[in-house]
This record gives sequence, structure tokens and C-alpha cells, in this order.
Amino acid sequence: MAEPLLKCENVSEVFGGLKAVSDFNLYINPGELVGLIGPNGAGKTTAFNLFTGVYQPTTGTITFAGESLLGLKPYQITQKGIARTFQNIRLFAELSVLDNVKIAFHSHVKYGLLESVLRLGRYFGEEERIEEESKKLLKIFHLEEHADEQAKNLPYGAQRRLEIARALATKPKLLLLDEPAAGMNPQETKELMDMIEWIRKEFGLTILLIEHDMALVMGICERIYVLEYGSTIAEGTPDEIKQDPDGAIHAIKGISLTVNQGEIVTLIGANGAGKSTTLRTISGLLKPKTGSITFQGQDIAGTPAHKIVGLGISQVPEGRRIFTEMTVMENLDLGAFIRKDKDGIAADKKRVFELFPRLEERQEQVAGTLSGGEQQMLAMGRALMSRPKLLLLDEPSMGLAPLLIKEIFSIIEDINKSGTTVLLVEQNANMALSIANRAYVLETGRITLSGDAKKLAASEDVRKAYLGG
Amino acid sequence: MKSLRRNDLVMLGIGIVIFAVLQVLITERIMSSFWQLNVIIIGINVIMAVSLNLINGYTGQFSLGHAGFMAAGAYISVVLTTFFHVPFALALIAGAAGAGFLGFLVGIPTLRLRGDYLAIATIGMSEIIRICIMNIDYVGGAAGFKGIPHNTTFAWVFFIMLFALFFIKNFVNSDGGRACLAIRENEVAAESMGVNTTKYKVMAFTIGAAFAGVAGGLFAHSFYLISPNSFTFMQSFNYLIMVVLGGLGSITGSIAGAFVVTFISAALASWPEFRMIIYALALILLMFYRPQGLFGYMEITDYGPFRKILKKGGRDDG
Repeated sequence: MAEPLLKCENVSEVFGGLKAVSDFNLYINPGELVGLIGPNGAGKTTAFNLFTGVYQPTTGTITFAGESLLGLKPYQITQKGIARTFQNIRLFAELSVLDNVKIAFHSHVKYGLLESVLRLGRYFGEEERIEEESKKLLKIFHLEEHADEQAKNLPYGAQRRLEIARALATKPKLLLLDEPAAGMNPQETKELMDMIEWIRKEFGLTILLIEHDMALVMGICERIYVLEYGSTIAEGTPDEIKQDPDGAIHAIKGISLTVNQGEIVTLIGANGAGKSTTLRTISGLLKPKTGSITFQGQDIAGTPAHKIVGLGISQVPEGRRIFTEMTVMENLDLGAFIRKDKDGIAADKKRVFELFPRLEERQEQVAGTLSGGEQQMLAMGRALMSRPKLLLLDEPSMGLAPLLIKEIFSIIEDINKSGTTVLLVEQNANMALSIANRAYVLETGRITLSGDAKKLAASEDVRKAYLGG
Repeated sequence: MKSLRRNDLVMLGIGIVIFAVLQVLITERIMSSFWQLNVIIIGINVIMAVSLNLINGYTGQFSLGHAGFMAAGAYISVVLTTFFHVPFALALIAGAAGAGFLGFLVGIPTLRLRGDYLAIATIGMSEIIRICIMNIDYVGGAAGFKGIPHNTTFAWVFFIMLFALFFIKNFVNSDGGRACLAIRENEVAAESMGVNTTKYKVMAFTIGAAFAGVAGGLFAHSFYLISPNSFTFMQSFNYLIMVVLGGLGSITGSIAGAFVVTFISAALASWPEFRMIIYALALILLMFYRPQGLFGYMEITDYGPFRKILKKGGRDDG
């Protein structure tokens, strides 16, 4: 086998004590199409930033075509033949689509400053060639009619395609695609897959791509690396990855927690620690790989979500997920979807309005026009309409002003006092610990601390990590 | 691409016609000496505005120290012509080289800064230049430099202005200019397209400073005396107003901005207290109704009638 085009050995990247990537190993042979997958925060984009010189590795080596990339600036790496696209699109927004591509020919322009300002020598010939090649690229990506439009005015899918066209204009040997299908619909994703296959053959490219769309990854990649918590945990062909038990990504591992009747229990931890995953596993949106979940003596692991609601567990999801096109009243009615007792529903609706007087004032208002705080109230009210015994709350304070957060938390206490058990996931650890009886601290998918909420709030470790010292 | 060359010739032709008309007005003494001086000042301000636009508008680096480079060019050239009797053209070139070199030296450390920080650093830099000059007795110190030969004529200003316009127009429509635009739009993406962002920021800064140096030379040789107080921070601010008024990223805009601002100041010369009020009002109205400036990113060649004259004019046509 030939020498790998890109080789990355024992690379670690530490940001202020936190390891974003550790002992990362990867190789890509010339002509290969390789996928890099893993959960959010696993370090995929960090890996791209290391390959392209945006970050310098703390330890380890990265070589490209036999040469070390350490210490090179991003533009030098581009000149060596690595091009990339960005997860959050970074086009030259105010410039025309054509100019976006023309800029990328920068490293291959064969005239200097004097020739350009005095319009001498190679200037005209070179400009003609760049224009021609740029238009050819735009044509491949079906952007030719948009050539004179400003990049910011393109539809989303077209912006993603322009990012790839622009990267190709740098004439790379290796193309790094960071979530090229993000935000695309299935039809667009299918077209994108065909396009990636085609440009790879046409331009003789080697491609490494990050993607969450498994159909795309499994469909076109020849080899896949699975990244978790900054290290590669599996590597192989799509078929091998599908069968490899290690290949499955564990968002949470061996978690044990109990919630007693009448308690408020909170789960705190950093982004990506697995808090939401835990809630979603309890509410049946995810199935646990191993282990059991018991609710009132009944094993509910793997029971479908809608049945779990019937058993008395209701979830208020992160980001509210209210039905924005419907009125407040319709939202609440949908919360009681599984119930048939008309009188009971009416009584519960009254109780929700007592808890959230603002919702009563706005019962006929379309939910999407409510403020963030009111939407949170509606999401909670909707969950209460199924008359749950256990209420799962995912980040109720997200995006709310401090005063509103206080109000929401005091309502959570009221709900609890009237007999509903609460399991609360929260970034705002201070608030959560102040109302909870007990707490669990989750870190990279494992429970690292647990106990009485007041004691945890006082503990040195928790203060440092989650309460801001 | 042939039409690009043709466009340049058409523009040059238009320029020469304008020059001829103004020159006749001056030599036939139809224009008063007050307005003669103002026509020269307009030309100098066009050079200042268009070179500042390269830094602020095209490259997106917010500089507020343009008067400092102008001062450097002015003093270098007057010392050469007055004390050493160097020919005017050479003195202007030396002034440009000196100011450009200063821009290069200052640019390397300061262009690491962004936005407000860069603006403050460049104000500081230009004040340092001014105060240094003020304390050098050799060039007259705070009292000013006296006895400068009156070398600047309308022809000198006009043709150097034309050169500056063509130079900067050609630069922004080439690969280097595209690199600068890319930096303005998104530095991370520019870098990953292979653009050495530091190099092009410093390049734009140096070119801009060099033209400010030439403008300084022309300015100084229009008067018998110059003093460091002609190059205060307020002066830099004036040039920024011209650029913003015309449109950050439009050469036509800078010409219009320089013209309008100079014309208003001259017309209101007898009522200096109203001048600042009208300035301020004009800016407030502009920010309300046309925050992108008179021309935005457009050039005069992008508009209908001119497109016809120039056939397939504009920068995107081949």
C-alpha cells in the first residue's frame, strides 16, 4: 500500500486544561473517502482545525504527503493542498458568487502587484483563465445562474455547494468537508452524495468528511473513524462499524440513579455530558443498549415513548418544542391527548392556568408568538396536562432572563409540592441545587458525584466546576 | 478582457476632458483664486479618501491615522525641496516612500488588532508622528515650516490623482484586491483559501500610507507655510467622513465624498460655526437613510448609462 496522504499520530489538543482531542490517530490513503463520526463535542471539528493549522497540536505529529504540517499557518497548509469547508458556513457574504470562487485561486495566480496595477504582462491572460475555471466550477455545482448574486442571498443548500466549489478552486489533493449535509433535506442530501462521489473521481481527490447523517456516511465512505471524547474508539469499513459493539457511541455509560416519590432530583454537568440523553432514555425516546429502567416496580427500558407517557412520565424537552402554529389552548389539549376523562382534563387545565396565569390571558394566541418565558411555561403546562407522576424537565432556564428563571423555578417547586416528582436537568447549577433535594453530577457520560443537593452546592469540586468558583 | 482595456482608455479620455475644461477655467482666470485653491484641495482629498478607502473600505481595517502619514509625506518632501532643492517629482516620490515605509513599520504590530482597538492604535500613531514633528526645530517645530516653494499646480494634482485612482482601481480588481476583500468579509475563510492575511493587510496599509504621503507633499507645496496642526486627528476624521459618505468599498464613492465634503467646507467658509452643524446633520441623515454611503459597494460603471457607454463595462465582464 502506498504512503498515506495524511497521517496523524498521537495528537492531543488541550484547551485550558480540557482535552478536546487526546491520542488521536488517523491515516488516509491517497484516493480514499473517509468519514469521521461521533457525538457532538467529540472533537471532530477540532481535528479539522488541527489538520488545517487553525490550532497547533499540544503533542503529536501530523504529516501530509510525507511533510510535517506542524507550525504551518492555515494559508500555507492550503498551498500544500488541503482545502476545507466550514460547519457554520463562512462565505464572503457581500461578494458575488463568482468572486467567492475567484479568491480561492489566490495561491495559483501567476502575476505580481506591479503587473496587476499597471495591467501588464500576464494580468489579462491569468484573469481570463481564473474567470473561465471559476465558471466551470460554478457550473458543476449548478450555481452558474447565481454567478453575479451576492453570496449571502443564495438559498441555504446553494451556500453549502458554493463552499465546496470554493474549496475545490484552491486545487486541493485532500478535501475536508465539515458536515456538508447539515440542514439539507433528504433529496438535497442524496444529490450531495452523488456530487461528492463525482468530484472525487473527476478531480482525483482524497476526501475526509464529518457528518451526522448516517445514511450519507455509510453510503459513500470507504472507511470510518468513530470519535468519542476526543479519541478514536473504532475504525473500519461501514459494515465493520455497524457490527462493532465499540463502534456504537456511548453517550452515557453505566449510569445508575434513583428518584424517590415526591423528590426533586437534579442532574447537572457540562455541555455534552449526557444529561439530555439520560432524560431521553427514561422517556423512551432512546433505547438503552444495556441496563434497566424501573418505574413504580415496572421495567420500562425500551418501552415506546407514547406508552411511557401513559404510565405517568412526561417530559418537557430542551428548547421547549411547543407546537408553534397552534394556539395555547390547542397545545394544552394535545398534552392531554392520551386521556379520555373530560372533567379531569378541565380540572387540570384550570390548575395549569392557576400556575401560569399568563397562559390563561393568552389562551387564543398562536404559541409561536409567545415570549421565550411564556413558551417555557406552555411546554411545562402541556406536560402537566397528561397528569404525570414524574415530570422530566430539560433545561427550563435556557435563554431566559434571571427574573423569569426565578419565577419558573418557584413554579417547579409548586408543582412538586402538589405531589409531582421532578427530575430536572439544568445548566444553571446554582438554581437547580437550590430547589433540589438530591443531585447527580454527570461528566462525559458517567456519574462522578451524587448526594444531598445542599451538600453538593457547598462542595469545593462542584463549586469550581459548575458554580463559577 | 479586451473591453477592460477599452474601459480604461474611455475613463482616461473622460479624465483628460475634465482636466482640459478646468485648466482653461483656471488659465483664463474665470475661476477665482479661492476656488482655484479649492479645486486643488479637492484633488488632494480625493487621493486621501481613495487611499483610506483601500484600508478601511476594501480591506476592512479601521484606520483613523491617515493624517499622520500625510504629515510624514508633507514634511519629507518640503525638507527635500526647500533645503536641498531636490526636483519636485523626486521629493514627492521620497515623501510617498517615507510614508509608505512608516505605514509598513506601524502596520506590522498594529494590524494584529481589530476594530475599535486598531482605530485607537492608529490615532495614537498619527498623534505620535505629529508631536514628533512639533518637537523637531529643524522643520520649524510648532510654529510651522516656512518658505516652501509653490510647486503644486492643478496639473500635478490632477494627474497624480488620476494615477492614484487607476492604481487603486486596478489593485482592487486583481488577485491582491480580491485577497483584501476576502479579509474584510471573513478572515478565517480567507486564510483557509490560501490568503496570507497579515501580508495583504500590511500591503493595503502600506499602499494607502504611500498615497497619503504623496497627497501630503502636494498639500504642503500649495502653501508658503505648513504646521503640524494641519495634520491633527480631526483631519483624519475628515477623511473618514469622506469615505463613509461616499461608501466604504467604492472608488466612485470616495471621489464623490471628497468632492461633497470639500465643496461644503469651502462654500461655508464664511460661516465656520454652521459648517460643523451641517456636517453633523448630513452624517446623521446619511446613517438613517443610506448607511452604506452614497454608492455602497457600487462603482459609477455599474450604473445603466455608463454600462452603455462602456458597452460591457464593470468589473465582472470579460
